[in-house]
Amino acid sequence: MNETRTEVIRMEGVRKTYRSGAIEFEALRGIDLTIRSHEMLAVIGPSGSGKSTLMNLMGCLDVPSGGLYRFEGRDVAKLTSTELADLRNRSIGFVFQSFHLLPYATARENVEMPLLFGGASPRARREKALEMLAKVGLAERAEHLPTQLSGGEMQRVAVARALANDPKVILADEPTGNLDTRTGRGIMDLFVKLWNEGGTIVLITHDLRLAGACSRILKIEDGLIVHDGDAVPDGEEALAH
Amino acid sequence: MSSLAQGLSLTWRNLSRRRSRATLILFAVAWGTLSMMMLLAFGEGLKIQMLKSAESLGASPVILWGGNTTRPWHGMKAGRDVPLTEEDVAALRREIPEIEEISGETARWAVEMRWGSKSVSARLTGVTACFEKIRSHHPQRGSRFLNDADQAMSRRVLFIGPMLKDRLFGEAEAVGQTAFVRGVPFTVIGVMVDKPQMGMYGGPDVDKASIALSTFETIFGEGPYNNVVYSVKPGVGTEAVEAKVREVFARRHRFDPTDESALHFWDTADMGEDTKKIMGGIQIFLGLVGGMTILVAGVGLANMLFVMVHRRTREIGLMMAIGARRSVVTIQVIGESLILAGVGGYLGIGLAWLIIEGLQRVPVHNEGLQFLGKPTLSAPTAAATVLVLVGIGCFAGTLPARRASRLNPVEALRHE
Repeated sequence: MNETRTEVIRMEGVRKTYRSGAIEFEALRGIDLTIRSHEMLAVIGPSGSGKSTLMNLMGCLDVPSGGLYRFEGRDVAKLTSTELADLRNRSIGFVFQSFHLLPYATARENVEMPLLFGGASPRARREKALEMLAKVGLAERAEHLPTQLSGGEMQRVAVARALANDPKVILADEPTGNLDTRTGRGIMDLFVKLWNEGGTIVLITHDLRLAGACSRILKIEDGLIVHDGDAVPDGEEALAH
Repeated sequence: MSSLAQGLSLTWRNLSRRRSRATLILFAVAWGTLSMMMLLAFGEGLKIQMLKSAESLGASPVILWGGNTTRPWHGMKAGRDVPLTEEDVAALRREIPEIEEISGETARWAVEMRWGSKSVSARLTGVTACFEKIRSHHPQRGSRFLNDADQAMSRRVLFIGPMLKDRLFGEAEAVGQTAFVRGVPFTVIGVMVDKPQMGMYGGPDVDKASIALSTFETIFGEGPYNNVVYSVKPGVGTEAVEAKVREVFARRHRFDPTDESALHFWDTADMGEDTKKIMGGIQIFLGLVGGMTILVAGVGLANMLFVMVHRRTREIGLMMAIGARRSVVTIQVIGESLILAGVGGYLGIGLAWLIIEGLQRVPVHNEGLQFLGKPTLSAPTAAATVLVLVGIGCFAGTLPARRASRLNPVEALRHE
């Protein structure tokens, strides 16, 4: 089955350095990583270990300071800002901890946003947005403003938005971090469902129980991958349960 | 769908959901536009009024006075007077075809005039029929100016300025009344239409009385004219005619034609030109003042857009994350600026138009206001305003838009 899985993300010795005046900070110090389609990957690690930096690079929001990053075979470092924007639009779906919904736009309009940037017609946008909202179980709430939705519902809208352009990969950064345990479990179930339907998902989390549901677990410490396997690393299992 | 359509779609959404702020800015832009339009329109009205005043002397007549010779000429001494006589005027009319109308003018200061028991003192001039045209002595409705028959028959008829009419007759109807000029009875045949007057000699036209030149001579005796007034035919330069007038006089009175002091000319067409130049300057000044006002509105607009970009930093970060190109972000902000400037400007122009049209219909009696004229819209005024508005819209939007489009999406998403 592995042969049919295409390579989505490939990193070789990826480094990221932040400079603030004279002080240099190396957030990532050489990451080698390949992610294929239909994987559900959890990235765990303590605060400040470089998880978010890794996600920003994977999501082409930022470019590496060194090393090679290929997204679907394209060298990201060589893309212009417009090409990066188009790549994010078509191939990547983001889900953030704090939802990042536009407050003055309805659930449907929020989901339509990536379709707008993708150049879809108003009619096509509307149809696709309603389809995605139905997929996350919010068909009834399409015309509600974010302020009229619960936390779990807002995150479902964000997931629907991430799915709108049928992306190659969904990047979720602490998607349950702002939700209570039960609601968080509901969102996690949604991700598992998407994975079962053939999606590729990268999940950044503190929550080892969430990580436990993934097919592959990556642990980062001090900007380096210290664990890459199909189970939560030893010694942390106890913490998780 | 192009970046332009995407950006404008977002612009529209933002503006329609944030009305109060947009309304304030609309008001500022509308006010600035209104101020600029009104100032320019007042400038235009003032210019028109000034030009009208400059023409109150008549259709740019040339006024000629006799002077003194300063050089000896053909055995004659310097320092001789040059009188202006009836024969001189006849010679000028005969020899210079470029002259359209010409008339001598005689005058006396402080002539006693009486009507019933009322007695006033005023300037009296002896003129001919052509003064109606070349010196704008237009009669009011129901009255007339002196004509050739008055001149030919030395009729004792009197034409008076409106101010003198008020002094002598008060509210009473003057035309047809008999007034005594130096004890001689005259019939009032006309009252002059009131007019603002910028250039004058021998006092304002509104406060003097005119009688036929021939009648004047029967009362005061014959003598040289005080001055001669003439107009030239359309398309003829007054300077060329002036030279010919000098030649005719030099020959007739035997003086050096290059002797500048022998004759004095006042070419009132020059005054019109000067007035145009001065008014052009005033209009530029008023335009600048208006432009400054609108600039303040523009700075307010830019400020609002900066605040908006700052407040929406996370939102802009998100839009970039989900695939908005930098051009879409730029167009969105500039679009917002142009729409606010455009709609505000439209409101301002409309309001200014209403006010100006309204003022055109209000009759003005105050003298100062009359001199100011009525504000008038002109095509250049409107064009200048629209141009400034477009400039303001682009200027106000550019910097905030640059800032927004250069945001780093990672940092923008983290912005609090």
